[in-house]
Amino acid sequence: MSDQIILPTCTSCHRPITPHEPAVSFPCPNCGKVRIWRCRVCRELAREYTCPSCGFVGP
Amino acid sequence: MSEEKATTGEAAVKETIQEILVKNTVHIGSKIKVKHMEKFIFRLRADGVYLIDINKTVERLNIAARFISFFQPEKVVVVSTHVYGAKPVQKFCELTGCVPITERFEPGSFTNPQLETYMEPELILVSDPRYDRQAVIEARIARIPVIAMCSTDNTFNDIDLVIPMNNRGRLALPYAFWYLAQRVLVERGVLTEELASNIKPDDFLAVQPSE
Repeated sequence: MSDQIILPTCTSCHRPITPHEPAVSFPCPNCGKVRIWRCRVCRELAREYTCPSCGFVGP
Repeated sequence: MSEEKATTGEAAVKETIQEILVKNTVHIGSKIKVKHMEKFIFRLRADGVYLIDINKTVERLNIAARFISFFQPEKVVVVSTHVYGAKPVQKFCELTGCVPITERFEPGSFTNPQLETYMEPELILVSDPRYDRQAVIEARIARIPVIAMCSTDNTFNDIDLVIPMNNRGRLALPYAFWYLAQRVLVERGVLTEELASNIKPDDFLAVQPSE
């Protein structure tokens, strides 16, 4: 009962991403060390994401 | 001293690549500018055409090559329904082992498992997000990251990595794919001198110069 599910958060807006949401995750294109998550809204609105490891700003 | 030489040599190679790309109109945008592309635009030409910063193009091509190298070759799909994009994409896929889609993109290719053309890629590269809109829409549904070659009038909706460049040129697309193929092989560590000498930009052209 006390088990908790840790949801991934969007790298741009830091909102938790639910399992059924058409979000996307991929390794950082520049360094590949960190996994970047982008929620549906941020992808649609083309919001920028920043890699926490290397500082790469996309898209 | 040797470090200085190495730095100078690298700069010379970089200039050469940039010069080659500029000669082949990779930096030419269009007369329309969208807000998303503002950070990649270098200046406005007198005739009203926006020019793209070639340094950023080369930088993004290098990053895109690194990104492609993170995935298995057969899990990367390259889509180009543009008439000038077909030959470069086929040659690029021949060299790198990726899967090309150069004719009509059958709707459901990424979402309908009952189709014969159904596939489950992990990364998609499109030459123009407006021409290849169906592929981008299905990538969104199937949760697949998308790399897109964008001109100054393309928006970044549902795109995860942008390569700012001229995506409608007869020479621009072949030369961009030529450089990208080289970089992908370098990132994978399989580019030998012999192979590098065999990869020529003329092979990527839709119409050979002699014809």
